[in-house]
Amino acid sequence: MLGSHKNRRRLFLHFDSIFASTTIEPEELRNQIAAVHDGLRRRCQFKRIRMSNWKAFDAADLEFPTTAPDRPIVLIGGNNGNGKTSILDALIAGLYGVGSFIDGGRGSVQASEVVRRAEYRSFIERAFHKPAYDRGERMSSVVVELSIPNGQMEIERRWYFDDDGQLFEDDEEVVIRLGKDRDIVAVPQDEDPISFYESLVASIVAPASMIPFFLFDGERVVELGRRDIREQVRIGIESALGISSLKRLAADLSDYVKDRSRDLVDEDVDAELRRDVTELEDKQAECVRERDAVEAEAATLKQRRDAIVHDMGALTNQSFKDRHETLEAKHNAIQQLAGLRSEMAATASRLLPYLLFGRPLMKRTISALEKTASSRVLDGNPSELALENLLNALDQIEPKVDLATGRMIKERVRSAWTVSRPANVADQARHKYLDRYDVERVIQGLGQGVQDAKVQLPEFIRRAKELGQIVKDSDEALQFEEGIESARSRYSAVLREINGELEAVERKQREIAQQLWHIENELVAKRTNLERRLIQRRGTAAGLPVVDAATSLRIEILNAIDQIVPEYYAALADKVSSNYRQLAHKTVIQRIEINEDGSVKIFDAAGADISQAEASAGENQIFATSLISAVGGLVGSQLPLVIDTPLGRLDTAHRERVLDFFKNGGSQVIILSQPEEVGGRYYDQIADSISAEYTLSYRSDDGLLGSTVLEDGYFRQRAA
Amino acid sequence: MSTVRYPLQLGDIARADFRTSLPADHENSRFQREWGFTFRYQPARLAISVSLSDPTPPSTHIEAYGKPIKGDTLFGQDESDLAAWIAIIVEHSGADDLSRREFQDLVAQHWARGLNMLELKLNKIEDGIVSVVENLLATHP
Repeated sequence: MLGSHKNRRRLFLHFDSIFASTTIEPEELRNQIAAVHDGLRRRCQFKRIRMSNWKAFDAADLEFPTTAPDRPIVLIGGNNGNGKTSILDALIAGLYGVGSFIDGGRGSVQASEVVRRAEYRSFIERAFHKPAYDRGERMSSVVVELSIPNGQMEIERRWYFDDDGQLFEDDEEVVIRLGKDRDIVAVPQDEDPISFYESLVASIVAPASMIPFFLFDGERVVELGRRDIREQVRIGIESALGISSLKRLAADLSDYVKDRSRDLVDEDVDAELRRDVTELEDKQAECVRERDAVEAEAATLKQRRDAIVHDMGALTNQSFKDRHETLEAKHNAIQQLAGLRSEMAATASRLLPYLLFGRPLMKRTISALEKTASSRVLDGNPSELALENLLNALDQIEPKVDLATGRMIKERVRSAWTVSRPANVADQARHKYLDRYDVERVIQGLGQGVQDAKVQLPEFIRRAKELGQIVKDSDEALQFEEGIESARSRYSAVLREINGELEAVERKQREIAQQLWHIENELVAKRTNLERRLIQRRGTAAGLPVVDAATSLRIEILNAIDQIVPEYYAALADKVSSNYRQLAHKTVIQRIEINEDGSVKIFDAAGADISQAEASAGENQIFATSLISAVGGLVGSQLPLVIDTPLGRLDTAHRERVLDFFKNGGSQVIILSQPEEVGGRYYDQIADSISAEYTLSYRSDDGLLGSTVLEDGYFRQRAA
Repeated sequence: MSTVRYPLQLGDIARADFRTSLPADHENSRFQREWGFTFRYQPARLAISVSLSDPTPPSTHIEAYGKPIKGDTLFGQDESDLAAWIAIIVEHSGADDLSRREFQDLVAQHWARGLNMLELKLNKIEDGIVSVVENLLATHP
């Protein structure tokens, strides 16, 4: 595909597929190039242009009637700023888009492609109709319709802007429709639509490099006129023949050959790549082995860790609460036991002696005390009273005895009472200290002491033993728990150790994974490279690399250029000479010659070479116009001309001649003119050749930024 | 040397000081400490009562005496307790008309002999008061 490609990698891959799959015969190539030029030689005309939010226009629809050869002119009038240039720009941008800046001589010609692309976007941004943007609209469009030999062609371009009014690379849409049914031309797969459509327009209408020769304003013609003649001729020829595209293709092929042969020149590259791949595969395998080993290690460690965590869980289930309760029970038991011991010591010291004295002593003592007590009964007043009562009772007994017998009995009883007392004296003397004390209480105390001792002390022992058992049980439980505790701390230590190891292993795992990732990436890149190279080798017949095919194509292209261009030099020279003689009123120049190297010589009537002579601005414009027309002729003289301000620098005589030239040139001519430029007599001169007339008027309803509207007729008041 | 004989009187006994021999007093302190008695009179009572279980009269020669314990402390604040103790000691002695002094000497000797007896009985006891009581209960049912 001819034309510029913004993505060189994609272009080169495209070349790869072309050169790997087919061989291009030089003959075929020539036919292809010739076919392009056949297309250029056909007649085409602008039929219509529709603009939406484009520069001065809100919306505009201009129809250019199909011109008959005797009425080739469409005249569009407009004052400065009313949109003449908007129409020219719309035609250029609509037809060629970014190509108009890259190849079409717009923007900074000397700047790089990147800069010119940026200039194009900036131009389109500025071309967005300001009031529409303020209304919130974000799309502009231009639709150019042409009639072409096989029917008609419609090129529609839309540009979408963001809210800052900016346009990005992919925000442009192009659609080309062909034929009566306006079928959309499908973009082949893997083709960039913009480049594809540019090529299509180049083959059907003319390449973008022809823009200066058929879509121009007078000022630019003047500029062209100022250039070196030789340069003008070169540009003209190359543009007309699409040579610049061919040269670009040759340059692309040259870059491609350099790029691809850089790989292929070095025969060791493949071997080295293979070596690298093998080494990387070895490394990968080693890495995988290492990874598997580490993973196994990690799995074992995790298993051990889980087992320990499980066991620890089982320990925890029974100990903390129990331990607390056990400690509590032990503490309580110890405290109770301490209290009990203290109480027991006191009780034992009080009651135990009653048992320790021994039964014999106790018995003897109690018996002695009882005697002491009974002697005290006889001895006391109550016993005397009892004796008196007894004696009185004797008197009451029937049958009564006589007084003397009664007295004798009473005396004997009294004596017996007295005799019975001295037997207790000794006992009385031993425990005399109890004289004024209640001996019965002492006897009772002794008995009670024995009894209490027998009941209370064993109870103390029982309780003490019970508490002792609690303490002992608690101790045993605690000992068991301590065992658990120490098991837990042993587990903890092992767990810490395992976790440490696991952390190290997992770190190692991450390192290996990363290493593996790097190796795999490198492998993919190397394998792809190797595979690509193998495909390249396989794809070329007889084992020739693709570079050979590309190189031979490049050479053929350059040869074709060398052959084609000089063929046109003579024809161009004749045409320029003839045009110039038609246009220039001072026919100083008689003949123009173009040599095989492209150098131009201008001869006057006397046959002198006047190439180096100074010329006026007007003369330059005339020469340039001759050249433009001649170049147009090279492509078949049927390319339409669109000229903005065509007569600006020209004097009256030249104006008349130029207008005549347009009238009779045979091509469609669209003139964008100021009222002063093509008015009065000049208008009259071409009136009978005009097929349509329009006037551009600017309207602003409320003093704000308005827009241009199109009216039929050309400055009627003047023309009338 | 006093020749005055004071007959036994409960009140006097209650107020009187009782001591044992100095070595026995040390022993008393040791028992108090080892067996967990709070007061000195507690092991003393056990010692005296154990000695009273031996029907023979004590005959320890005492050269020096230890620290005193008041009678009502040694034999109890309750008069019937005090009286019971005196009755037992007096009955054991078999003597009529004991003087207060003789009574004090008797107590000193029983106390000392009782400590020796306890030492013999309980020298292998380790569990303090509980074992002491258990042991004594077993041998004096």
